[in-house]
Amino acid sequence: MAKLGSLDELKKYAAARSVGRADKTVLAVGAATCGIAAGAKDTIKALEDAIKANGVSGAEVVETGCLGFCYAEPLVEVRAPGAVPVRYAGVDAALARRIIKEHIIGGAVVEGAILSKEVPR
Amino acid sequence: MAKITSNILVDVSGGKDVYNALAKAVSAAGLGKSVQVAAVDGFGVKAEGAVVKVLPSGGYYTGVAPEDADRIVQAAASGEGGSPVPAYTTNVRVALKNVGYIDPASIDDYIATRGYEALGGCLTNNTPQDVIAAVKASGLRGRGGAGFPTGLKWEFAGKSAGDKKYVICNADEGDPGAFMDRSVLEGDPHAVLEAMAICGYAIGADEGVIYCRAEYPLAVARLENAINQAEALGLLGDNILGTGFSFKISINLGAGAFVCGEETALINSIEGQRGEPRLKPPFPAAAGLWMKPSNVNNVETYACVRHIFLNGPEWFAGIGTEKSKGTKVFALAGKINNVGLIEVPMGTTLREIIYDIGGGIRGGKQFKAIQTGGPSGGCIPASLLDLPIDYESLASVGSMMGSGGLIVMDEDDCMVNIARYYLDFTVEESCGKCTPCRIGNMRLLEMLEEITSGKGKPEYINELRELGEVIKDASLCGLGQTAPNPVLSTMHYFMDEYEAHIRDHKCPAGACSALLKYVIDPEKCTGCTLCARNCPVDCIAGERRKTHVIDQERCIKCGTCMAKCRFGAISRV
Ligand SMILES: Cc1cc2nc3c(=O)[nH]c(=O)nc-3n(C[C@H](O)[C@H](O)[C@H](O)COP(=O)(O)O)c2cc1C
Repeated sequence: MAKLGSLDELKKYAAARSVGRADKTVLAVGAATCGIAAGAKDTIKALEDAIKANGVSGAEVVETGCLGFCYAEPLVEVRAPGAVPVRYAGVDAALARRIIKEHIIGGAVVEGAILSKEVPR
Repeated sequence: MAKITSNILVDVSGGKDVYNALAKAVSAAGLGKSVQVAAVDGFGVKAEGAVVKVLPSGGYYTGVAPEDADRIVQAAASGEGGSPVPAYTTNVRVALKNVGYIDPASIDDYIATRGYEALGGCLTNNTPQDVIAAVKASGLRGRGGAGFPTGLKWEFAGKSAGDKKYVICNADEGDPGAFMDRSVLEGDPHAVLEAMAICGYAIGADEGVIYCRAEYPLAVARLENAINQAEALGLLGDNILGTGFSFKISINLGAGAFVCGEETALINSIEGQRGEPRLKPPFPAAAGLWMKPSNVNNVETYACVRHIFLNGPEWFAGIGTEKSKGTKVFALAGKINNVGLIEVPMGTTLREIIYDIGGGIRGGKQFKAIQTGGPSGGCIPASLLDLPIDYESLASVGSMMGSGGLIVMDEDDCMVNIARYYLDFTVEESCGKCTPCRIGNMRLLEMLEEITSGKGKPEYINELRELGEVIKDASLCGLGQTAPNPVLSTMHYFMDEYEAHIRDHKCPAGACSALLKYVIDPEKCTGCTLCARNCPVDCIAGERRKTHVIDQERCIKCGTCMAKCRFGAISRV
């Protein structure tokens, strides 16, 4: 990787990047120590397996930090392009598979598992 | 499979009328294949009446009646509807801005959120004096405990003469129940690195050290990864962004001693010496690591810095109270429904934190007190719930901000026992260098142990108070100077509990096991033998169909018998 030689180069580098993906739904999994202790690694694997098994092309799993809702771990935040994020609480492997099938593929939120507490950024 | 294109989320915590009306309206309009109605258990927004949220737009309807269903469904189907409403949790996120949002392993994610732009701006457009002036103007104060003005601290280190200076990040986070700093390091490590480099430029240092506890392996791994990434892009290391400024950061692991969070003990520990505090002055700003001028700040303090430059010092100073600016991250724990990590503006009241954000007390029990400031802090009673929290207000009620642990206690918690718990911790963690802390706190603990086991003497009240004040005045470092606070504050607000233990040999909360006993009511006991069969120490005697009796000498007060009895014959007195 080439080093950035000036503030302008940094700004250009930044402009070419974004956290969200315009063409992809991101499944962000809270994977700080707390989330991992609650089973986030299993959640990640289940999400990735389900994405593969269902041949979903427009979604990817990323790890993120602590979302702050310890009582609801493991947490998954679904960020679809142009949509407000939807957070799921207590996402075990079974719920992870439902999220891929019902929400990512079918567009319907998985009832009974939503944590919609607002913490705007 | 047909794809649902809009979702209508209904808060059903107040009833299902609106939910049913919406579901009916969807099928009546023949929209069942594209619009979904789903129940949720509350949104955490400030609104009256039934609340409905529409996806993907995220707009809300408030005060919804069943008659509104058709209108809402039509709006949702056409991809619009609703308007924003304020959330209970305030929308000011500073230190946690990126935490839970970006991928902490990706420097590109960080840069996409204007990462390293503040550093680049400072190096390119500002003198070190400008940088210090901006931090001073922001009103930022240290988040590690004492609340010292950060800009002033940087100025002292900047003015100290020295061929070599250091920037130190205190990531020891030793308070029981605290995890604010860990969350920042694990969720947004670059924010800390960037601020340390800004500080280095401001004070004239070319080297930074992060002192992180070894119990945080994931934080350490993410920091290491972040340092490597930043060096690869020329954002740390030699000649940063071509400006000629060089700054390197290394990580030093702490072995989990609480006192090593104290800045001079921390410096000793980095140098490979015993983790004991040094006499101040000289302060680290004059003679710190390797006796060179050093600036020590807490993780969260650093995490605020870049936002001061990106949004302006006035912006930061516009949040919070007169003397405490910005936000504070708290780890909310104890007998509360929503245990978690929160960030609120300074000046938020305890009531808002406990009831609006924390969701109230677990099991619908009665709130008794909230402990702030960890082992150095105090317990605040229900009468002060409307206190807006900032550094001064907490100190004025005998507690302190500390690093941000908030532990909620309910009617089942004994305040004498809580004080004993914290003292037990500080006695264990005292380094032993100075006598008031080493011996004094031990004596406090012994008295508390006697009180909680029913052997306390009336004169202990005065002795605790007197000795506590002496320890505060005479100890060498902040550990001893604050260790009596949990005792003094609980004595101040909950003297009746101390008196009940000493005078009546009773624990009103029923928490001190030495002061309670389990008894069997002969009227209710049917002699079923269930309690005797479940007693782990076989201390319950009695023949079948005859009243049973507990041998109080041998009873370990585990409460198993009371939980097992089907006739409510056993009570705790
Ligand atoms: C016993 C003791 C433990 C401390 N532990 C910590 C700690 O874990 N983390 C921290 O940032 N500050 C801790 N401090 C406070 C530090 O001494 C120092 O004030 C702080 O790191 C300064 O940073 P700030 O101005 O950004 O708050 C502790 C102080 C004492 C007396």
